[in-house]
Amino acid sequence: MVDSINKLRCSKAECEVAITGACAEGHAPPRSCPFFGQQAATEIEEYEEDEAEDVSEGVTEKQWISLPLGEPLSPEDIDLFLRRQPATFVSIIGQRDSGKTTLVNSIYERFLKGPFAGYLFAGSRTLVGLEKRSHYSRIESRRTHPDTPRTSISEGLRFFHLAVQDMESKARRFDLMLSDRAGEIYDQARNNTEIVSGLLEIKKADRLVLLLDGARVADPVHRAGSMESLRQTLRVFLDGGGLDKASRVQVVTTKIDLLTRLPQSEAVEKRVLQFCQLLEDNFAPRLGELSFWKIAARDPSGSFLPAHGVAELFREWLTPRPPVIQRSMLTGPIVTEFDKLLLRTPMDVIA
Amino acid sequence: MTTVRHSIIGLPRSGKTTFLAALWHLLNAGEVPTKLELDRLVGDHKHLNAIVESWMQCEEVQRTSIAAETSVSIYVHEPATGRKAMLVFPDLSGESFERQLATRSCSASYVELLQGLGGVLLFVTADRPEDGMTILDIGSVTNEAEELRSSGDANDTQEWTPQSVPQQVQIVELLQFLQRSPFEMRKRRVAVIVSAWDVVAESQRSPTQWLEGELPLLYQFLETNIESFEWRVYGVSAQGGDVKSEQRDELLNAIPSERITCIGPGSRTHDLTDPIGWLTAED
Repeated sequence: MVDSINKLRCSKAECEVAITGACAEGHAPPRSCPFFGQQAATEIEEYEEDEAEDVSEGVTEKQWISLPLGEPLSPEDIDLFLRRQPATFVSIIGQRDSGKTTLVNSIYERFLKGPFAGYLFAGSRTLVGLEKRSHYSRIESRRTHPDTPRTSISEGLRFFHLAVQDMESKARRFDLMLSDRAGEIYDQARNNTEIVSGLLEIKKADRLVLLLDGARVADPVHRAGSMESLRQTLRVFLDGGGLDKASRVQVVTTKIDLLTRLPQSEAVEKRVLQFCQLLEDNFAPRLGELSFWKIAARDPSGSFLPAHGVAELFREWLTPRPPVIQRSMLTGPIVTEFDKLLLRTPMDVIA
Repeated sequence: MTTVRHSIIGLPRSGKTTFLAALWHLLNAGEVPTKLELDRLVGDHKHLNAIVESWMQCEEVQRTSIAAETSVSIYVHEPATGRKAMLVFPDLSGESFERQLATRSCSASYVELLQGLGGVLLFVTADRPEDGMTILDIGSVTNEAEELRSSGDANDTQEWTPQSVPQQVQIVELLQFLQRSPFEMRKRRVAVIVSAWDVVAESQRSPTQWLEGELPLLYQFLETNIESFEWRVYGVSAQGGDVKSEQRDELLNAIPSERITCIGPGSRTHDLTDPIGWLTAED
């Protein structure tokens, strides 16, 4: 018993999982938290000191050179990346457990088995991150059921990177950046417009993917709430200035395997269709594009092949679209010759 | 004329040691014609001679342990052109490559080795269990499994470690390292050596087709990174067959160098220097 308590530990200083058994990040069970079982910061320092001693004792006189970590990219990493080459940003937004990371993983897992959606894998700066997120779906994890570790709040905004090349036209090569952030933050943003301006992934998005969690839709208790949550998110993003007439938004219903297995599946599907129609009526005029998709990224029953519906979505992300030009009037007095020049210039030239 | 320096990359148990044993015998014995000829060897002869002895006796060549680890360099030249090459096995055990992936660091000497105009012999083996399989690859999840999951029975689960990463992903990562600092960014020739080719020879696939089918991520990566890698695939059976089976008697009776098979693009020879010759050749 003493041993089992000692094994309960976490690298986050403020987490009291060792005492209370409850994870500060809200993971249940606690071992699903990425910090669980890690050494606490103090322990790591001690360990590093030990390591330093080993080296100084001449275990190796080799000089070691750092290599890229392969972890998901921070916004600062992204800035460095963009100095060298452009990238296509797909921001995936959804409630906790709605399938954000699973969607990304399903794409990566397909590439491990061969070309996907007409594209070849050309590299990734975040292979370690993708592998860590895929682990719970692998046999090596010795799990009985595929799962995805939850993205923790403290990780903030991160991006997974995938470089791909069109199988038909080798000149068409893309660097895709797929956002990853804990769903709790989007829940907070839904209740506070001011948070929206801090969500970098919305402004950066070439495609904004809003997930409608099929598991919640399948549950009569949560059905209306999940739809309302998505509607509110869209409204808040628009009102908070995150989205505008240039934005391309995709509403994606996830886990449709759960919906098709319901005895009343037709009625539920009709309900989803009505919901999508209402979104179209209410929000499409305020957006550049609003489209609707259905996927089953990882159906445990095997009724749907892995990444069902994802190939079409993936191809759409990589379909170049002409920029949506927003015409806006100059505000303020026209003073300089440059102001006058701007007035005479067609807006599509500026874009 | 300058000597081109090629390096060998391969994870543990990818066939590097057996290849070296067979190559060393091939160059020394002169039993079959080879594209390249031996100039000299620099490194630990004792270990090399031991593994060659095992190879000659058709015994399984014991993989190199860290303890037996030494850096071995073989100097060869091509009589037809006079071109000289140096083949460096920086880490026969392959564990330093695993360490690169686990610690995300490499030695300065490895970086230095990869400078210059030489290419890379990249080892993968055809004789390995499939890895990276998902739970759904082996069938749908049963209701019992669902119940186990909901009851929180996760005591026996295995957390992620760098060793959990499938081999093809590890190899792609090793190649991706070469595309960025601190490595010199230039186009490199890569000869992918599929070792233990006798295990899959019956499938009638070419080595390139095997790579495409069995290590698809690596194949896609090589296909799409031609600005970084000019590549070819060779199927190599350094032993000539399964030395742990009845085939051993047959192999023992053959001329040792003739046991070796090296299948390259459009060629089938006993000459293990074929891929090294391609790495050394000018455009």
